[in-house]
Amino acid sequence: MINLIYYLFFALTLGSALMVVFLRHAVYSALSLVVTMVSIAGIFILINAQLAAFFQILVYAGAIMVLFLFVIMLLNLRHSPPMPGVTRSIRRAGAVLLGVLLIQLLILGVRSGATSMIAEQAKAATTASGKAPEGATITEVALILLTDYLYAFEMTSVLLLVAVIGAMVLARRSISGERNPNLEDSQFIRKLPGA
Amino acid sequence: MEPMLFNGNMLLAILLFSIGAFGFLWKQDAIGMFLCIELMLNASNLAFVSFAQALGRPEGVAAFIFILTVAAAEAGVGLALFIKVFSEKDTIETDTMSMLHD
Repeated sequence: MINLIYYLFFALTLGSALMVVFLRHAVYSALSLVVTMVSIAGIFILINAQLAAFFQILVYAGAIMVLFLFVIMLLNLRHSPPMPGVTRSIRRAGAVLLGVLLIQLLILGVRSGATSMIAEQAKAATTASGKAPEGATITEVALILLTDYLYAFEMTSVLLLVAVIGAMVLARRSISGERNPNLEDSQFIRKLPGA
Repeated sequence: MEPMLFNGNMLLAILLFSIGAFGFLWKQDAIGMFLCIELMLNASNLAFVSFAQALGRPEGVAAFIFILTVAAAEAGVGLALFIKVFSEKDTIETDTMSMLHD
């Protein structure tokens, strides 16, 4: 039963990730990314990582994707004419080549590197205790964030402050249009009725 | 966590990351490329949380929280930049952003 649900989420994640890439319209791309994130949250629940699942839904699928959708709808994107055929086919062939090579490389790395060691370690712990490791609890995560990783934790709050100030400074003038003469020609003004 | 699920998660993380890198090169608009970057970040999140659950240690979940924060900050600044570029150029196709090149 668990396996069946797992395969369902696996397929849903991969399918919606491919749709993110291949759908032309930005809104549909963003909505498929929401599906990807929610199904990854489902996988987190299946592997008993509830904290990660809740953060995934609250912050990723909730906050970040809403920000994306707001900006996509604010920009009112149109389809521009595609670039010349040869350049585009060269670029797309390169993208396919790199994607395939990257899959090969990552599989090779995971098979030979520390990952297989971790898998063996987990298997040994499972056979020693008779059941699979429970995984990290929210108490352990909170404890390690506020002891070992305290400086990194405080740095992330500084990072968020910098990001908030940076985003406000960057986006402010282009919308209010006070000191930007180019804005007379842009869509924001043209769309206003009677302006 | 079951060993079967660990292997499956590793495979899923590899495929998601590769799809993200592939889409980053495939897409032409800046927002689509940004969505593909989020895809790659999600793949690394999946790998980190799988490691944490397989070993029963909390460090991987802590890394997940840090990546989440960085992704949020990056999305805020990046989207503000796109609004700025769009108000200048009326498009966010990356091929039109060649001011330094010309």
